[in-house]
Amino acid sequence: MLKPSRMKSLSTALLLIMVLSGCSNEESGPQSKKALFSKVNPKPALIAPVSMENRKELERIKQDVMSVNTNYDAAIARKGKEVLVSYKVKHFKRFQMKKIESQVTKKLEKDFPSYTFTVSSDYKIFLEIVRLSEKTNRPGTSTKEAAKRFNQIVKLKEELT
Amino acid sequence: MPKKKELNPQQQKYQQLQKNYETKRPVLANCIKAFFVGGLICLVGQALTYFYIYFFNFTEQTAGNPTVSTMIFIAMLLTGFGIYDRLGQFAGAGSAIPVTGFGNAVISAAIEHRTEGLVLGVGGNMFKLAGSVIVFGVFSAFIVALIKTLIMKIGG
Repeated sequence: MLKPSRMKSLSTALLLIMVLSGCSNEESGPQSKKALFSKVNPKPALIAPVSMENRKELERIKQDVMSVNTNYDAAIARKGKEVLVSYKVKHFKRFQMKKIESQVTKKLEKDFPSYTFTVSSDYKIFLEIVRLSEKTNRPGTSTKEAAKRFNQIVKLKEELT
Repeated sequence: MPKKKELNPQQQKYQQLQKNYETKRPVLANCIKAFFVGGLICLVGQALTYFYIYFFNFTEQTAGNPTVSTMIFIAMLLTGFGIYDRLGQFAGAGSAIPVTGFGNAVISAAIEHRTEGLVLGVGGNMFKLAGSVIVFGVFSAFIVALIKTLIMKIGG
């Protein structure tokens, strides 16, 4: 059994962790809350130009990413001709991440030659695309704001390489 | 290698007798304990990684650094409170092999030599055990990086 003084120190440390964890100013939707742990299958985020045809095209891009049998979840965002793609790789296939990334990039560039793709398998990029998708599907979000966030995610991906 | 000395009958008899009185090591139970406690420490580390990815601007690659720092810091605190020592007695390698064992090695040496003074005691002995970990860690990383660079230069 722990002494009361030790219990006090431990509970202070725990309290500090709990307070710090509340520091985030990110608004999280139902999908982004569990995006790191399970398959969420998020809707593609279309920032501009918004049209039914473009939505269908994004769905086709998503299907293309999912057709690689090592992937089990994909998040897509598009702004103009720039497309941000992130996917989750099956646990035992994570040793071949680089190979899978180049495979997905080549496949997308071949099937959709008119777009510029930024491909990543990083969980953070995946999470941010899910958050962006939730943001764009929420009423009252401006295109400018979403485009700014899109650029921030691309920048974050470029920092990785 | 020196040739193993052959034992005379009296020595062999003594060894046999010694074996009878030896306490048997519960190897399997120790392995199971180490597996679960080590796994639990790694689980906490993974949860911390997700915490940094989710709440801060860390990516999967960069989240490793604050995670390791936090884990070492927690292990250092727990060593100071005297909790990590008990965990070490229970789990053995399960608590020593993860990065938290490094924090424990630094702080326990510092506590042990506190009475010898702050500079020569704590400062001089703090890295007594952890120093070798740093030396061999850095050296092996250097060798591996050298091999990787050579392979990449040759193989493209």
